[in-house]
Amino acid sequence: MTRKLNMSRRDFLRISGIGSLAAGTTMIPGLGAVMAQDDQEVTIMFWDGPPLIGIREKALAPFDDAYPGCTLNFTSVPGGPNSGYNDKLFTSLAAGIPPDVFIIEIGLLPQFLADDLLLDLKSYVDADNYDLSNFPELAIEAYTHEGGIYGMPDNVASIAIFYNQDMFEEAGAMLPTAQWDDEGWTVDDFFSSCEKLTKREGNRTTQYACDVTGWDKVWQTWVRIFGGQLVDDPFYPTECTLNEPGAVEGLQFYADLRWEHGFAPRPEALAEMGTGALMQTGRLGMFYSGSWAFPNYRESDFSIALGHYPSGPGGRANYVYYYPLVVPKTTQVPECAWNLLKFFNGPAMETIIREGGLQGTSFAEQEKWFVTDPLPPANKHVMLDAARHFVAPDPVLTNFGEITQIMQAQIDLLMIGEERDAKVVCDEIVRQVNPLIKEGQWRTG
Amino acid sequence: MLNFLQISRFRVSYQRGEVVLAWAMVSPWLAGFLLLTAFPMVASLVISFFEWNLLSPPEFVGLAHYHKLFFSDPLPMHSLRITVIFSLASIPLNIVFGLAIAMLLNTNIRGLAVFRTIYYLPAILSGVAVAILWQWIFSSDFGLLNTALRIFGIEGPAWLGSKVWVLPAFVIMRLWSVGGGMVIYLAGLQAIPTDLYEAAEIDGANWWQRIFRITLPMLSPTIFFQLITGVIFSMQIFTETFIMTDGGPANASLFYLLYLYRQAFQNFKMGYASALAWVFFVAVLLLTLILFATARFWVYYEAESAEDN
Repeated sequence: MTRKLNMSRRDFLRISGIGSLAAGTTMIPGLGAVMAQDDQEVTIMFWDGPPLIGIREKALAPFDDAYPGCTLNFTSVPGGPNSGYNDKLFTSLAAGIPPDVFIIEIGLLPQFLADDLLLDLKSYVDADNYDLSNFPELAIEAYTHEGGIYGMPDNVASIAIFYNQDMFEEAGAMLPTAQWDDEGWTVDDFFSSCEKLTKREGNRTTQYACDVTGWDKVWQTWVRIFGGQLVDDPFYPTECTLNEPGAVEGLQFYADLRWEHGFAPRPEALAEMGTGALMQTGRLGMFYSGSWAFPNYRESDFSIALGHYPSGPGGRANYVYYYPLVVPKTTQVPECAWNLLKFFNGPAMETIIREGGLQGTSFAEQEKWFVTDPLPPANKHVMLDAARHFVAPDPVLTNFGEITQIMQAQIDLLMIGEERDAKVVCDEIVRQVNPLIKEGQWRTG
Repeated sequence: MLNFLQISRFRVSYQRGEVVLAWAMVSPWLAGFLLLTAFPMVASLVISFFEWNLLSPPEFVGLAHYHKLFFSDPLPMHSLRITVIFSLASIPLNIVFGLAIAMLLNTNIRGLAVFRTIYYLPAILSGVAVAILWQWIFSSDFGLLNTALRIFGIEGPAWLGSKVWVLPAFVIMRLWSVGGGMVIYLAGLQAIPTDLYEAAEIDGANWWQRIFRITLPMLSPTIFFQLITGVIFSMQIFTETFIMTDGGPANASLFYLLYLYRQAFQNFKMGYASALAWVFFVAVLLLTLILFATARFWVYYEAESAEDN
């Protein structure tokens, strides 16, 4: 027999109201964690795409056991910063519900600091006597502002010259050095190797020596090799110095490798995805990349090795990525967030390096897992040494991303041969960028 | 028996019920329109007068963004210019090719349904997948296009790496979706009464005369519709350039919406991006109104013509 439930409209509204309140409160982020006093949920957000998908999550899985009372919630927006990750991050920040730990591009850090959004980790570093000397010094300096420390490295990723050792030996060309303080392997040696590596049949080039790419980290390195700089002082920039002699000379040298000397394939000869294919088919002697390219050369039928950039009037240089993991000031679980950062840079790093193929963060972990990896390419310590000695800080400006877009459009002209004179390009960059530098300054030296 | 008053009440209550039902039926769309279209539009207009990076509170700047857009930042006008050039090249080609294919498929040949499906198929594929596919087609060394050109002894350019060829590359690529318009032209062609052609044939009209005196005038409303949607569609080009060139080389494919996207979601200048969006909205609206104004000179509506008679 069924019992009839008599409910007045007022009862119905009352019950609905209580139900909605209960449902609403459980949806308020963080409140669930506060309510469950013993178990604080700490959320971390990455932008992992293939081949990293799942690796960092797996590496961080034991965190809950290592730090009882903290529960990890791992999220990822695949595809990198500009494929939806930044949109989600900024929206969550605007809504006041950001993840407790998240990765950002180094170029965005000044904006986050200027807006006072990040938690100062200094007290946690001091309380744990945490050794920061194990990370690239300039990276830590970039994360530092007015005595506070506002980030820990997500990954340190150096760029190296990948070269076909068999082709170099066959051509009798000098090999790129694997020793960071080698006095040899100069810009002249590099040029001489290019001459030997380049093979022509009539008007046709059948073998190229090197790659000339518009990749900003590579052309910026050539600027530094010749003694130039993007700005007068990366930590307190006041003007763009790209039109000074060293910078211009570096860019001219780099562009001439393609347009004047024909050592590098021109755009019409180089497919958009062609550098890798040229390398794999034995038609290119060397190119620039990071550890993410290793899997492509595990089964090559030639010996592949890593070398440093040549040294020039400005010494030897490189670019090293050092994107930070940061904690928002509004986090409800700062202790767990700090523990997560420590765990990430400690026990999780073995899996991240060995299975994810990343270079790693601390020097100790890189030495233990990255450098000792027996698979090709050879000389992986080149990347570790670059991280130790050649980190070049990005200019600390709130709008460096926008400045990069402007620089890149002009550099493109040089790379595609529309403009052959580097001075013209550099002057135009300086003209356009200097007003933006004024806009992007947010602290004074 | 119902008296007059009862019938009136019933009618009123029935009509009221219908009105309520009608509102209930349109309410999902209405709510969606108000919340997801009207409100963001009004909000973006307000935001365009503020400096706002999503991270810190908005700061009122008045008309500064509009001043920058027109007088100090060269890229909005540059990107608008190349978007218009692209549209001027792309829209007529899409109309001509769409119409030509529709006319070919408006005949009685075997396997017509298969051909129609084949031509329409590309129109339903996702923008990103198509962009990646075309990146391979345009690839200089191994791309399908340059390989085909090599057969004829022509050394193809670096389509996406050249300032000169990047825009033509996007125009060619847009022909890929010509099947979408083809279906509409086909429907328009099949709506043309056959007795017009029969009468013309009796009068001795040749093929060209039938095309220019019957087909095109009768199809002009369809062409007009395709022109309007084509203008809006081509001015909104984004996915292809975002995936394939990111505006390069040297901003040669920096279409307007890509520049707007950069300002909003890479530089996080929401106020400036909103101003860019409003200028774009007004520009496209004006263009559409101008096209509507020209319609009375060349678009033939059978119904209007019958009324005039």
